[in-house]
Amino acid sequence: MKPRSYDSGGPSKSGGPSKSGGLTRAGGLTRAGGAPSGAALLWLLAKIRLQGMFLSAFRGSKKRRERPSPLMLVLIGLLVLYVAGALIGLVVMMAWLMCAPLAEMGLGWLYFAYFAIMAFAVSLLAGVFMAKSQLFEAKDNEQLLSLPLPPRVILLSRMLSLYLFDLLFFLLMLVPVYVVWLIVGTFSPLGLCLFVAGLLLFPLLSLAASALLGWLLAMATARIRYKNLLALALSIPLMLGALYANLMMYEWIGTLAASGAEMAGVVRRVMHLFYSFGRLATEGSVVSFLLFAAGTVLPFALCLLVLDRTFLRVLTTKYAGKKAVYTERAAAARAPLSAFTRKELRRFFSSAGYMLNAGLGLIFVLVGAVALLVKGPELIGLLAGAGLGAFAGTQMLGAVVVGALCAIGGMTFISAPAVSLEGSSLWIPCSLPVHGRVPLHAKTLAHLVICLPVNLFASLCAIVALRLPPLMAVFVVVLPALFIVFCGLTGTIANVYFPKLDWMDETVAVKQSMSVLIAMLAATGLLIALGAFCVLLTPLLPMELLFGICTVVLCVLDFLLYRHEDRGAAARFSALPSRQ
Amino acid sequence: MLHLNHLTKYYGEKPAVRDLTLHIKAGEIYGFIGHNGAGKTTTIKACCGLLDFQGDIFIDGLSVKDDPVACKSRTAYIPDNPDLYSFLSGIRYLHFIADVFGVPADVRRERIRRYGDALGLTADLAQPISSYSHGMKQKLVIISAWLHAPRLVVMDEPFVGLDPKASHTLKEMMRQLCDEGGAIFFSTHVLDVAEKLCDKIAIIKDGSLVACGTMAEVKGDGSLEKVFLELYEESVRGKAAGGSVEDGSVTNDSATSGSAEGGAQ
Repeated sequence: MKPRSYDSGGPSKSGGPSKSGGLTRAGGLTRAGGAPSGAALLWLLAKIRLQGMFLSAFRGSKKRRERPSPLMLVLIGLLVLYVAGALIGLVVMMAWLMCAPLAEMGLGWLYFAYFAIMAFAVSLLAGVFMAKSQLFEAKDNEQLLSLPLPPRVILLSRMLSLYLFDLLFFLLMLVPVYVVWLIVGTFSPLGLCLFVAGLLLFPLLSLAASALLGWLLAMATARIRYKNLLALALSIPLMLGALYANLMMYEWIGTLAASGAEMAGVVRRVMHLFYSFGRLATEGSVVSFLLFAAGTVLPFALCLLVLDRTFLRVLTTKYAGKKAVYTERAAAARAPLSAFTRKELRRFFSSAGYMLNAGLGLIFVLVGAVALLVKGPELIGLLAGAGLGAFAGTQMLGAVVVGALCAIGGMTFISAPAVSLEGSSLWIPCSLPVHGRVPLHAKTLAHLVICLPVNLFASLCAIVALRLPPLMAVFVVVLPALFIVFCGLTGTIANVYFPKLDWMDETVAVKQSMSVLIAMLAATGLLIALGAFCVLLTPLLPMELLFGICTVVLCVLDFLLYRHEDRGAAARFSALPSRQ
Repeated sequence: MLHLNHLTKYYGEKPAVRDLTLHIKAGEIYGFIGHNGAGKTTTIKACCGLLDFQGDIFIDGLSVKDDPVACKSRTAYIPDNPDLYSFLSGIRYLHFIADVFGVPADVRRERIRRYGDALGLTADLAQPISSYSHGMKQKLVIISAWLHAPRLVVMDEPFVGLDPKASHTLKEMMRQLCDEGGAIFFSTHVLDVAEKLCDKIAIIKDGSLVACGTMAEVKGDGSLEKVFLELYEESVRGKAAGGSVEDGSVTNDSATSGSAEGGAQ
């Protein structure tokens, strides 16, 4: 029998995958000859991957075969609706601002092109690290490579799951854009058909770009020891760029509406693909569709070709640098809580994915604080110039700072995936002679140790830059700090109730945990409630008193959450191995 | 030292361990064998407070249910698959464990040196655990288990992945711990090891204890392998004939006599 070649892709003629293997028994997968077809293998692997990404977050214990309760399903449904609703609402709001002016100018295609560019950019930014981790760093890589599967099938199955993920995002972004167009602009049946076809093709482009960037990142990091530093160095500018784009979005919309013709010329010349997308949707242009199809399918095919040739090499390249030599040193003994907290901090700082996804807000806080310190006098000058000089050094500015710090604090969710990240090493804290409260408090404490100093620095910068009065200065320090305690506790507790321990790569635990969603939702809800309370009562009560009430409310909430973490959540954490 | 009283564990409707009673005394190395899925790991995890269960488990007279922390402070657990904190180095992991068990700095330094040298891992302790092989991880877990001088060590397949030298060292460490008044309860599929190393042995089948006692009581004149295979084949025949484990139709007479004596201790 000839040796089996996997490099050519697809099961070889000399001998396909094992006929007795588990994959062939998966039902309906085998061809007449007994070997599973490439498409069947592909779908089976993609299905397993998608189940890992989506369904396992909502499933109970593997051994007990638990199904989520109806109440849980309703809660999950509401959360998904909230997230989808928030995104759709934001898109519709922007679409509404742009659609009418551009339609009146006869530049409907530019309206579609703008949102297509935005969807592509967001998908690319979010997709680079996801592609890197899903394609090249999954825990089951070695296991799958050991099976009689062509590496191409493994690669394609992962690309398929990433494609479906991207498609979902594009649907959420661009379908509302089309609906607004139907209301404001004109309807063309052919345009609708081509728009739908274009929508199915569009994720191929962003997937090709993100997969290639992820591949470059994986190639680079496979050869160096300090992978996290490189990943951070590459990703922070990307993220700051995204923040800048986010801040400038409304200004750009204004510019686009004001000088549409000029911008249209630029887009048509420089980004012809997006121009084609705009034309196929508004005018039903078949030529534009063909151009767009070519512009998405060809880069994707090129990407597949590049990845296919190097996939196995990237997966099997390991850093083999200088070995660290152990030298015996005196080490101080620490209390268990301190030991667990240090362990949590090490976990956070050892993972670029964890840092970037859960702690990105802190970089924004730092950048904002320094900017405020540098530009503070200028800002006060601007306020005075705009006739708002009375606001300088007042409670109003303090309130804005408190709101901003709390809002960013709510987006920093270091503790929310901390239980999930225990993964298969959950047996360690659960078999050690400590009460369940110790590892849980350590997770919250690590969140605070990372977040509070940054927030304190930002508060002090704001106090100095904006010359806040003493009492307001106290609130600018205390209120965000209490809010961060709330976020830390909520995250840990939510994760105990919604752990995701069977992840294949840790990005899934960090990004796609139900607990992260719940923690962010709780923080947003509380911030809106406190903000509404202050806004509504400002005419009646002094701001200091309102902030005092907010401080008391936060203290009470923090105390109640701490008590729950100390008792109910701790008991549940100890019982987690039983529930898995 | 370790007393399991009518231990029963269900996963949903499915029984994993049924009415298991065992007593492991100080100074004993107690082997626990059974086919795959027999309930060994479940029993071991229950002893270490990692699973809830019906019945009682006592360690040094303390109930695992009522006082889990005190029980865990006397126990060391070595799982079948050493999934460790890959982001820590070996030495940092050992310090973490030592901190949690409250091992003084000078004592832990001496023990890390002693067990690290014995198992041949000292030179690699500064390396991240993510770079460790399965055997190296297993050695690290063994060092961490012995680091706090436990009274009881509970191990699930401890010899898997170890090289012959490390296996030999582990056997010596086990014997020494028992000579100093400790106890070992471990599962294994390596019947030769069980036969040579264990003072007593228990055989579990489909969640139920079918034999236990001293090696001589369980194996009689034959070999442990022979006893085990006979029990297994009887189980298969019993199932084929429609008999269930509950009705006792598949138990081995010679083995159950050992079970009665061993279980009654």
